Amino acid sequence: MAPDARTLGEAAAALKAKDISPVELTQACLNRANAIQNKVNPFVVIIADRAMDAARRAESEIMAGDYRGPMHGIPVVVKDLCDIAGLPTTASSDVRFDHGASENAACVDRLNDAGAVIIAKTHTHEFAYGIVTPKTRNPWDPGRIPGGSSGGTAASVAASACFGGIGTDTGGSIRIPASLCGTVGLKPTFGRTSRFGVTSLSWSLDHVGPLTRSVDDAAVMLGALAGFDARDPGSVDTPVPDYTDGIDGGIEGLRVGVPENFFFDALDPEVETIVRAAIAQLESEGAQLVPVTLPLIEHYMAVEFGLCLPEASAYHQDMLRERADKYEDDVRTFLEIGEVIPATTYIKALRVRERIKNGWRAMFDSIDVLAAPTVPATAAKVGQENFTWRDGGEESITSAYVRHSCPANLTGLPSITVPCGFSGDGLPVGMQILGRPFDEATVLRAAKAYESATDWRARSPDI
Amino acid sequence: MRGPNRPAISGERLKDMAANARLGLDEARAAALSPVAEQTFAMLDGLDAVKLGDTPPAFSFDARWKD
Repeated sequence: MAPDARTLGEAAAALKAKDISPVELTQACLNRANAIQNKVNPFVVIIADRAMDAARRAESEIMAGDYRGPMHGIPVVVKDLCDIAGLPTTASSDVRFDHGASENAACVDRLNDAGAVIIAKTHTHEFAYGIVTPKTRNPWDPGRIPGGSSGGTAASVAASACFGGIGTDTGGSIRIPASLCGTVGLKPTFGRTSRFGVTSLSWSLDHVGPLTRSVDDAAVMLGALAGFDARDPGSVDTPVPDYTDGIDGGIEGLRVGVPENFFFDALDPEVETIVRAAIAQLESEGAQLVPVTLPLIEHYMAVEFGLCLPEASAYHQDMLRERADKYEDDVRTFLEIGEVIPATTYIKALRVRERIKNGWRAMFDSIDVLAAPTVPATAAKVGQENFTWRDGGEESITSAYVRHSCPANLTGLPSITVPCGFSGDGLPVGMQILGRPFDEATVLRAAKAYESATDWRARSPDI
Repeated sequence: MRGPNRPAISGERLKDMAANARLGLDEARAAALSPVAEQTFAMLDGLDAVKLGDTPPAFSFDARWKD
């Protein structure tokens, strides 16, 4: 059976019209999930029985006229950092061999409240501490990584095993795999979505958000996920708009910042060509391109790691002492290094972060959004350690991917990645669009204008 | 590049720093981590170049009592 490559919105319309039932849709996704698991391995566990129970409930409700909205009866996946009561949250780690969640993460409750059907928990780089997701493969080329840390969610969305999924993003972990797997990925503003019940990597940088096959779908999922939650100290109590409202409004006159430094300094020439063409397309749609210079660029990685390393080591302090041998070596190394960073260095990173935030605020005086390559290269080969740039310089794949994505984590600004083309060897390329705090609506509108003017979304991996 | 006022992080030194954090590292592990630690601290040393003045850090602490 061919995979169901419809968008979430298209499936929702069919469910609402009762052209298809949630049970049929869920069974089709479960079939697809099982079919791709051997080649791509995105799933920690496929929860078929739970999913079919939820699908039958949704079917009864919809047939009775109790339609909850566009997530009702929609099969989705959840990154296995998010607690689902009664299931282990493995974080794709042997360290969590005896874990069991007693209550749902906030994002899981919100999906349930919207009537979504969770069909599986997806692989992450161990504890979200990396950008490879080594247990999963890229559906466009199983010899390539899916990116991470939300690699399982990105791969399953790209391979049409579900209509959307939950990812988390501390230094790019929604947008990196979304870009490498050719999906849309939206990191909302810091505080827009609750992290309650989600295993932390870095409290000051963690975000929860959706990965989907279209921009409209990201708007729908964000609408289901967003909102204040007092259980998350980073949550912000500010109104949640209807993110689909005005999304088709176009970008006539929108001021799009085009970076003159940083984002185009070291990257694959093919990626640069594709993303510059995408930015030119925004101009063709009526946007006004504004050259901008990013502030304090030489300190982004130091602040990202200066915050993430000690915070992660604090979270793992007991587990590292009790179960060090159960961590993968790369993650154990980060955790051990984080133990010895002085508190004053950590606080200095927090203070520099404020300077970066203020610099970006000033930069946004002349623009409404910023457009840039999501990452500087397409999906690395499995086992590849470095990229070589055109000046002959080498950079680790972790540094390269995080370098482009971490500014949105440091500033907390919303950032979406949207597919904007394919490399000569058939790998997806993404463009990220960043906006002002809590202005996801403009970010979505710009991304939708680009998506509507192109046909990249029509392509699916042949797997 | 390492900052001018910081000695290199040898395996032995890293072992002592970890012990101060109550984390035991054997000599082989400390030696293996040493180059990564040096690279990380060199990156963090770069933050010394930012003139911070009275810039405060942003903490998320909220003194309100919420349900």
